[in-house]
Amino acid sequence: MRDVDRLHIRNEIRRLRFEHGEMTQAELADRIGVTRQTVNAIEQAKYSPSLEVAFQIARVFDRPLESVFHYEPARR
Amino acid sequence: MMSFREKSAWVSLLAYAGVYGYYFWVLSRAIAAGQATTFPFGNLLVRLMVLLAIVELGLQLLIALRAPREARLPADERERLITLKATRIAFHVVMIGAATICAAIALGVPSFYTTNGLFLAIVVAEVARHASQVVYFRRDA
Repeated sequence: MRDVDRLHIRNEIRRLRFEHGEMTQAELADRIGVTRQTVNAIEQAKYSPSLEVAFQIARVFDRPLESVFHYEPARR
Repeated sequence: MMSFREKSAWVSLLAYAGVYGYYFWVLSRAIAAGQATTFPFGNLLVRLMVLLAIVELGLQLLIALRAPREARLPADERERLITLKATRIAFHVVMIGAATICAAIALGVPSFYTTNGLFLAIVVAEVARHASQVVYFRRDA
């Protein structure tokens, strides 16, 4: 397996939602044009969003992309 | 809570599996009873296709009415990806079925069986597509 295959995208969405007045997943979903289930899947790192959606999420929280999403090597 | 498109996939899965499952159950019983060539399958199939259209349309309309806002929205990127993955699985199923039927035709299997075999491949592919969607929606929920 290549190194890149062992990488996982982690995110700070749950914390950022909390810091933005307990924004709900549904509210975030509405603002970026996806379903609540998709926000939940992203938040739980079960789905890696496209760059466009990742940038939209970062824009909602007014943070640079790399402070919302970051790569972490998967635990073996 | 399930999204509109997950509910839609469940409706299609249950409608296809139920309606065409009944058809192939009747077919297998007729074959077992030696009535394969005399049973009016065309008639039954047309009725079941109409039934499927009514059931599917009715249930899809019902879930759309319960979540009108979600139903109006286009599929998002994750939902589109799930649809693509499920369609790829269905493609493999239908290709295996088609190759099997080609072999059956070459071996001189009667057209009654090859026609129904091809139809079975299409139905199984559709069921696989909807079932895959449900699994992907559940797994990534």
